Amino acid sequence: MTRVPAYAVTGFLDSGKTTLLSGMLACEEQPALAVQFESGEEELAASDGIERLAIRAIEVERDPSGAASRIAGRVKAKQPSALWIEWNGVMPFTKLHNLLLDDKLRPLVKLRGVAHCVDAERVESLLNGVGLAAREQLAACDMVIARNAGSPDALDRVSRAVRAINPGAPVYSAETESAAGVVRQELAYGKRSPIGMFSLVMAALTVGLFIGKRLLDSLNFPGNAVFSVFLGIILQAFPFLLIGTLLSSAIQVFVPQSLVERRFPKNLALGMLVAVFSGFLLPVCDCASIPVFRSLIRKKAPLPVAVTFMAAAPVINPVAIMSTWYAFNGDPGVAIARVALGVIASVLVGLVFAIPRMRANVSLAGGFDRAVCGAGIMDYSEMLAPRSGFLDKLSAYMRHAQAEFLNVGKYLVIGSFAAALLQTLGPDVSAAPTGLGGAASILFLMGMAFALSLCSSSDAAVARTFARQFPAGAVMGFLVFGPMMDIKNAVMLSCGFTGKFIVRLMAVTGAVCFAAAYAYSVWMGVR
Amino acid sequence: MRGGSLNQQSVIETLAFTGFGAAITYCLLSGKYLSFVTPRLAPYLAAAALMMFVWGGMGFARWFRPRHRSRFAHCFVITVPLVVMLLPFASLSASDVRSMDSLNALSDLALGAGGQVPVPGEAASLPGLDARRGIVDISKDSYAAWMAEISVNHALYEGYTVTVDGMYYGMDASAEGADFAVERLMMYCCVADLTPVGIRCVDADGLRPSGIADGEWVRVTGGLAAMPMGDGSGEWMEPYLRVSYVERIDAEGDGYLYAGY
Repeated sequence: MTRVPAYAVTGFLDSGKTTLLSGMLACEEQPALAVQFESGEEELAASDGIERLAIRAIEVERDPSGAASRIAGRVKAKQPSALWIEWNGVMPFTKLHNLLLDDKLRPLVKLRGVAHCVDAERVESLLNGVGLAAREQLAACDMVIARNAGSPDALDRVSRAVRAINPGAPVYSAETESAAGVVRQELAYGKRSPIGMFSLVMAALTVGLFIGKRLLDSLNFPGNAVFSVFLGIILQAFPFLLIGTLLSSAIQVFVPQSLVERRFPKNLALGMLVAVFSGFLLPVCDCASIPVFRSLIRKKAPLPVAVTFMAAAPVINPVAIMSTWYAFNGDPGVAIARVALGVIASVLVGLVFAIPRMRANVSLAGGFDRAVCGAGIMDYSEMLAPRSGFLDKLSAYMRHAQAEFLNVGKYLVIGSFAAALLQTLGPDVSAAPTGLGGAASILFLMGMAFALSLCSSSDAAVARTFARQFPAGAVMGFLVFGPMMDIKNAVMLSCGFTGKFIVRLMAVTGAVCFAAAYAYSVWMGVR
Repeated sequence: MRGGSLNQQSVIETLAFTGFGAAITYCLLSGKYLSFVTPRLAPYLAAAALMMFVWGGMGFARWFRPRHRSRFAHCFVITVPLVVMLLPFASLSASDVRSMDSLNALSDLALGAGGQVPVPGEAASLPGLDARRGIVDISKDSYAAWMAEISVNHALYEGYTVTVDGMYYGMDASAEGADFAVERLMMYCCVADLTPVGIRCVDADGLRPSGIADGEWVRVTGGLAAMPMGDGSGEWMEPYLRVSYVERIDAEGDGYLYAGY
């Protein structure tokens, strides 16, 4: 027997679900069954051939199997061509999905599509205030219909919020006359199998990369070098990103926000001291410090302190100190200077972000957990599940780390490829004009540090090769600025922070590092 | 469990994580990873592979938890590097490492190659030295240590006959006093920081094989000497080989050196 296609309309109270459903049922030419799990102010419009069934939310809570039996009985009796569902606004979508997969209903009905209604004027406050159920419904839908979204600004606001939680879901304005018809058509179109699509894309990617590389090699384009450098950066960065996301997720899952707010030093100077000391203790490179920085911001740690930590950790951690000492033949002077300038520069950068104007528009997506929602990776039923026991928390922790790793990882992959391209095809350091002034040399090597995106555990070795061609201040600019800010870091920051904040952070870090390196040049007697 | 309600996203994630973990494990066991990162990354990569398998297993546990909207784009974060790992790669030469191919880098890097500053007299313990006959035969294992030794203490070995294998790198017209360099690439962390380490060669008698190109492997024999060099920062004596014999040899794989190994 062919299963009856089911279409669901979800959304918070007073978001326009009944209006949309009435509009779509008006387009229905075959006999259909409409099931309402919510009775709002508006009645479902009567249409010919539409059978209606009302089930109270409390029935689903108490006896989901009984609710499934009622729907199954009606489907068997009426044999509708489609099942239309208006889901309750405050119940998780997972309950509806489970209901439709009940043993009694599953042989009769197949869920084909879900449309979610939102009110453009309330979308942000709703997603931040109502809790996980509203986000869960939005995350599970195939498309979004926004009421009060007649203006481009309103529609844009809804699109931004939707993108953060359900990337790829199209947004339609309910004010359009044909909205119900379009949604009806889109829902009926159905979806392709994700496994089939994934297999297809992977096959195309594999064939494309193999043929592409061979073609590039035959054209004498340095594709071999680009892919080698790309894979080298990825293989050395992924383990550190993993450490960073495990640390960051531990903060997210195990450390309550109230603890951070209560225990974190209120005094700015003390907070800075803690940030610098933490940087000394964290033996990881910049790939790990950025996810931890994001977690600190989400847990409402003071911005200047979190910025100081992010800037200091990659420069002054034990691995960076040892590699600098090692690369410069056991000369402690360079390692000491790097640590000292790293601490001074990171504290100064942090202090700049204590200025109120600099603290505006920092995080994306209104503060909710974009790492999880944004990627749409984590199953919301897991988020809604209680986390009382240790195993529940451990499971949530691992899943959170996984989501964070994949979400930040995509920016690392993009940044690494850009760095590989630039390193292979970009300017040749050895061809830099000799006799550059102190300031020009510093700017040149800071630019190279940004473009090369080297790991802070190995950049000292490369800096060593510059030591004869460039003055000490320029080499120090390379060693201090590179770990704090490079292409890879800038792209990784765009996962969770606004473009304006990233530009401000880059500009401030660049200016402070330049000033520190120039002061070092003057102190060394080289201008 | 509800029969047939397959969570397609979890299936894809399981395949992606397990596949990536398997690819890293294969690279570690076959030694292919050494073409991209140094041996000291091996324990980190092994731990990463283990975590990928754990996450793959966790994904399997969710296969039969229903999920209406399945996504897979996030899996490309690991499947793209996985496919790139499967590509055939040729080893890089100094001409590929454009940002660091200055001749100055050769002797500079040699200083740090062994991880410590050579001390005169300690070279007696380096393999390949026959002080009585005035011969130094440099193998791959002792290459970094010998480059460091020659760079700092070349005065002790002037006149010695040195034989060394490495990649040929033709010097340009601006490299005064040198015809080519014989070098290997030193890796400090990953292939992105590859840096040439080698020695200048003066081929006054034109002994180079005709048509030789950058990146080809050669065995060079010559007498060690030193020439004065200088720039704005000062003057110094630069060691070089006065070439007496050059031949092409088979490539030694990628032949990379790893700092500290």
